[in-house]
Amino acid sequence: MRYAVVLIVALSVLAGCRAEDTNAMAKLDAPLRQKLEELRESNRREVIPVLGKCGGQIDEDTKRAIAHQGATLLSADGDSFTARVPSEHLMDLARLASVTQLQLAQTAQPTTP
Amino acid sequence: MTRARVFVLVAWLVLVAGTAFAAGPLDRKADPALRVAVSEWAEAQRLGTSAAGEAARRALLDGAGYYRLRREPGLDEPLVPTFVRLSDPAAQRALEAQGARIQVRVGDIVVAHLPISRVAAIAALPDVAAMEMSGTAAPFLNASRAASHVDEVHAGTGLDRAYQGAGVVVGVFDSGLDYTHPDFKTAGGATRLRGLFDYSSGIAGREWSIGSIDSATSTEYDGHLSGGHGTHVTGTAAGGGRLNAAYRGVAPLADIVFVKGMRDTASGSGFNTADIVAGVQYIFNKARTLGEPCVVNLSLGGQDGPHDGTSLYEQAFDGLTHPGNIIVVSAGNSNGDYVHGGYDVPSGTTYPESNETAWFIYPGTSQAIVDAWYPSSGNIRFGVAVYAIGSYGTPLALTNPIGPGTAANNVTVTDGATNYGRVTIDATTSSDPNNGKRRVLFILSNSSSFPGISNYVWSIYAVGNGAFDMWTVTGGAFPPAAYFGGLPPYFVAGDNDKSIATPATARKVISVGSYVTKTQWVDVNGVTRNQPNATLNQISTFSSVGPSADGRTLPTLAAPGEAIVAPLAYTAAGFTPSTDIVQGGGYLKLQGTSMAAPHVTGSVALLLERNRYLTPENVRDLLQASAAAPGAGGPFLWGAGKLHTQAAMQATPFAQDCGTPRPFGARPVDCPDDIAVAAGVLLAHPNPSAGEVGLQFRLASPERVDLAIYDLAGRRIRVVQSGLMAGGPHDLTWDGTDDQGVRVRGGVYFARLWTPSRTARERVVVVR
Repeated sequence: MRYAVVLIVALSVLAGCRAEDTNAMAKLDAPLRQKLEELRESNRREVIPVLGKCGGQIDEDTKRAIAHQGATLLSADGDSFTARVPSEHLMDLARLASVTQLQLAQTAQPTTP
Repeated sequence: MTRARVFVLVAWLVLVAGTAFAAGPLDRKADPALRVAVSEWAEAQRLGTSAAGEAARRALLDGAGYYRLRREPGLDEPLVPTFVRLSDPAAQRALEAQGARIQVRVGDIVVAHLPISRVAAIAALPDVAAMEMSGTAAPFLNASRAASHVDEVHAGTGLDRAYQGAGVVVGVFDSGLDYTHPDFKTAGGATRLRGLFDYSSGIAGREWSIGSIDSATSTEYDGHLSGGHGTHVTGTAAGGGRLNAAYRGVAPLADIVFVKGMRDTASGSGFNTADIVAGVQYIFNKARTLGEPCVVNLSLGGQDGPHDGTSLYEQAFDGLTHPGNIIVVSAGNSNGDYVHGGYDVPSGTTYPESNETAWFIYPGTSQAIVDAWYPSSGNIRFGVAVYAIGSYGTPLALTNPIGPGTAANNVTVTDGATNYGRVTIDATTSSDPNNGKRRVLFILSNSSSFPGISNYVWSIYAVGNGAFDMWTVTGGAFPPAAYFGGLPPYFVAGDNDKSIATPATARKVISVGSYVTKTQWVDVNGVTRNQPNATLNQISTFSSVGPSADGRTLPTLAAPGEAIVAPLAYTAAGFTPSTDIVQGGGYLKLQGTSMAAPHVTGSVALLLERNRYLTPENVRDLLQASAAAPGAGGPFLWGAGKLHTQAAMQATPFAQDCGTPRPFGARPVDCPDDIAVAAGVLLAHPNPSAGEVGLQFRLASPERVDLAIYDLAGRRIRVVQSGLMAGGPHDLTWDGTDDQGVRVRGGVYFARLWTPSRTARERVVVVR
């Protein structure tokens, strides 16, 4: 009986984590999801540049929370921010309740033909 | 022949022969222009401070001739710009020991500025093989300034005074900056930079102090892999023309804040979009600290995202713009690259009856990416097929179609015998949080067992229903059937529509296409070169095409972008074809919408010098209303037409600080009493008013004008003007009464201006 309770609690925690991860994963745009997948498959780590959006104005507490997840905040303006995040910490950043979206930063080129 | 004439002839022959026998190094090595300059300067010095001496010096220094000496702050004598051919490169040091300032070296030729009194001594150096005085090159940036009517603004023609960008920050985010170039220094030799940030140093980048720039201890530079892109762009927008006044930029007195955006010092890595956003914020913050309005130039772009202004990247720029904080972006050079595809999928289609688009992969590409978007009302399943080159009837292999909400990750495309490549089709975004659209990302990569995706022609097929747009982000294109030697009819080719690059698609930026104002230049070897594929006054063949994906007409306007001459970074000099370095050295010819954008950036700096409170919408309206007529092609190539800086300035209401300290960005209500308004803009003054109200506007040409006052209910209460008026400025008066001559009550009214070419409205407050 005791094992059954432990099992139920463990499964609940797992289910909760999985739901939390699903919610966090939904905050990533397709290129960022694919970037994580690519790194996972090749067993590599990278510092990933991202553009993010929060549910409200980014205050000092939010900045601290973002930095606490291992991200280097590059800029914050209104509810938007840019950051560089070690790939192993990216999902931690996505799990923050204040963070609503994360997009993979892309590469732009000089416009000389 | 008289005896006297014979005597003169003999004397001349003796003199010439004697000169030939006595010819020194100067005579043997220097070209005639240099010899004449040395001789004339010596003569001017011999005449001393007499009027004749002063006149001779002025003629050499300030004359309009092809050959001119150059003054240098802190030096008593002028410098001679000279090409020197060295038999031993090490002799450059010997030149410098004589006081020569080396500007650039190309092979065994150095471009040096020689103290005129040392020219003979330099000629005597054993490793100096030949010397040729530099003439004044054809002023091609000057040509683009002239075409954009910038020179008139610099001179104050048609304006209350001259404007050159003083008190305004021109910010540039680019590959790097050669901050040692004289065009970025003041007359006293101090830097004009007010901020320098460098993303090639540290994860968060680093800021260099002004002291480190002035002492040249900052290690920031414009890496050679960019070809000096950032230096050139900055010079076009804000170069001071100190090395050669012909190549003065559009806002030569502006303060400069620069961000080196490439994270490799060699400047070949491209720009990261997160850094671009952060860099623009750095520039605006720096300008705010200085208390100056600011315009930022972004001569860069990519093809990722929805192209409708809704991505976080595009939105970030909208959020950063404010009154007095403007962003200008190059439209991109994708015309002819077939980066866009898309069509309306016939409802209910299934493979193989579906349509598909041939996806050409550039040779040597290991990964190609396509980004597709369509409204959530549609339901499209996408798949990828692969064909042998020249055989497009039956695919070698194909994936299953992937529908909304699902994904196929890293699927090997194989016929069982050959693995042609790996494909990811990520359609999990069934409603993007920013625009509600469905998104499908295609990633095609080499298979580890067969790395050769570019050995085949790939296609993207679509079944279901809905209309979609897609862009090749990297590695490929959607060219027409002819490129493949013909394709079956169910192939739908890509096109060049909607090829304006991001972030030029952001909603509050000014996007700039390129047109041709010059087709020739004289290179550093004196050879006249021709710009390929360029027709004067026509749009550049590479200039990207609008509209945006949400249907906005883009670009905003077009500006000169071909054969543009601007400062050459010293790091790029050795890697740049000598054909692109212009005569006299120190300046480089480049082309692209990258070169068009800084013309507009500099022009916006001039507008902000006149009125620091302009909003992004004000600037867009002013530039568009004043633009000159476009060449061939429609508004999706030209926007509103050609940049006309003078007309935009004339249309800009004057409003500066009025001498009263105010929070930056807050428009003073008591300031614009001395307004000089024009084209497309109607301005009421004073406003609010207890009595008469002046109504100012400018007409570009004679037109019929209807100007009337309306109340809040939309009733016309007074006709102020109805009939033909001359071109030029007008200042009409509304005396505060209605058509019956009765004084109107206090309250809000609207003055409406209508002409066949424009309408304008101004809110008027009457106080009683």
